[in-house]
Amino acid sequence: MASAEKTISDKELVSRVRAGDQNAMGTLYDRYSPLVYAVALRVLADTGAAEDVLQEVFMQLWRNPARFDASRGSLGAWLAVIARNRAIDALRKHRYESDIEDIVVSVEPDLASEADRSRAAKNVRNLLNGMHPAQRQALEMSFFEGLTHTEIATKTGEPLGTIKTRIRAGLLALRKALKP
Amino acid sequence: MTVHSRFAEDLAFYALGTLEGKEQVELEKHLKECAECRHELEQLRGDAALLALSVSGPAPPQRARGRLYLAIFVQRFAELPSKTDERNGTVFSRCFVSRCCVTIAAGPVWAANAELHGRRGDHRSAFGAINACTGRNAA
Repeated sequence: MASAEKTISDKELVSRVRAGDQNAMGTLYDRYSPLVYAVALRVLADTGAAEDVLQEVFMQLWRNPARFDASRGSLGAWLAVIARNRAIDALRKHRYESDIEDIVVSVEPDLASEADRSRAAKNVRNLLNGMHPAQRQALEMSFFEGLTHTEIATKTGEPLGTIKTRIRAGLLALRKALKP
Repeated sequence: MTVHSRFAEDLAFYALGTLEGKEQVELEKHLKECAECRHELEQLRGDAALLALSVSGPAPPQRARGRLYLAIFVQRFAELPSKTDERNGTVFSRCFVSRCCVTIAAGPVWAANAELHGRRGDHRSAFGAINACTGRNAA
């Protein structure tokens, strides 16, 4: 990726994609495809299926760039969530119900720069490594396996209330980890 | 327990897309009326997205970039306005056949071009890394 392209904001690139600019799409792909692919691969544990999710997510962005509301969220986080949802759908053999998820994902910083992503990734990994193993397990079962609280409680043998509390507290801890 | 704290834990599962049944119905009803909980839901979705950052793995294969460009190309081509020929009382899209031919012929070329662009980027990165190691400035 050329250095000039690295500094263009996600908002600007999405705006160009809306106008049909394929180069802008290529820049967004270079910026976020490793994240999208890594999430899909983590969920599906299958390179072919993860590549299909990668293709689907970026084609959806190309077809419907207007569905991403740049004023209310981070594109990187939004793509990661869409990739995770698509991968879980594929894992559970659900049919895709909508063209693209109409959701807003708020993350600060917005993860557009490589430096922000690296810093955030380091903080998140540190937090997860320091988390109680049972809490980390519950969070990962929910996010990467798409299990409901009942399914997690059954699998782990823990009370339902404990699972619920662990997951909410875990998410809030992640939020805190990124606060400056 | 306030109405918000009643839904606090369900909101986390809803953000993760794993809330089901009666709890999901009740929460969705509440979300329609409660801006505060909708805002908290956005935040929780962001928190959950951070879990994605904990993942590291191999880069996507180069062919995936070419595949995306090919799909975009095919879609753009399919969206071109078609002209119809209504002479002889039949409706026949003259563009259709030519579009198919051009798509078949040009699609792989487009994909190959996209892949070459990707490889050029890789080579530039490698070249930059070598130059950094040897103390030279990247060209």
